[in-house]
Amino acid sequence: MANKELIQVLTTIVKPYVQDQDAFEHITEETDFINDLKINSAHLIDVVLDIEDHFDITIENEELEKMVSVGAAMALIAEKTK
Amino acid sequence: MVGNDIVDLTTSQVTAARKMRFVAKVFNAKERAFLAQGAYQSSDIWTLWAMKESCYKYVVQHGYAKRFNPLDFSCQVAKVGKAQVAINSNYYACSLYTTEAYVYCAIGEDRAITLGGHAVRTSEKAIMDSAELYDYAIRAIEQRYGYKQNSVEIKLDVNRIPRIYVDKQFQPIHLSLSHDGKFGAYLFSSL
Repeated sequence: MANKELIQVLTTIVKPYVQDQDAFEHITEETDFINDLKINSAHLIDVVLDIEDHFDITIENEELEKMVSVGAAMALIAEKTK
Repeated sequence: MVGNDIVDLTTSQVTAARKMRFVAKVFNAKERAFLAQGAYQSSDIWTLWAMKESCYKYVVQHGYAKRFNPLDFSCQVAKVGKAQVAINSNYYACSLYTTEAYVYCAIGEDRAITLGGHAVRTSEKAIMDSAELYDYAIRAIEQRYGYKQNSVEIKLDVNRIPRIYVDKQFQPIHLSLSHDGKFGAYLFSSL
């Protein structure tokens, strides 16, 4: 999946949990889920579950703390779907 | 140092299957055994979550720099009210408050918790947002310490820890804020 397409999928996944609409409208690979989008920690777990469902992958518990940004999520997804 | 977390139970409803996946992701074997004893009640799940999140906020104020990984924080809840979180062989006592509408956890010095340095507030709007919670916390700090009206500001530092300024001057009052759904809570230390 191309990066542009991947960002679009992630944008759809995170949308219900975002609390900063301005940051959401300018989402990039550098966008931080908590600091920029203001997604709370519990909803970050929801994002992880939604990513698992969409891509049919499993994100291991010890990989949770890697899920800090759009770019980090993209790298993890790319690694698990190649 | 202080740390707190509140969860609105009325907006945290999920399907049973998703609940179990959440449990498997964020709780260790002992925590899962505790939750199984209570048939995985939502209030139990969110109580343990609030304990972990509160402890994370507490240790971050001590300079603990890692990202929040819920599995780093081990919750222990005794049958008779006592609750604590362990991380790196350190134990942090939790004050827990549970109603039908929310669960709330506070970690910090006894004086802050017993002398009015914390409160749970219900939003006057559909949901509690940061601005409304900041306002409640600022009013409470002004009242508690006798600062004049509109002299207190809350600013986030580079680590996104809320800091207190009075007339633009930094004050060594530790503060933790949490909001979810209709509810918000603040907890601040004594000077």
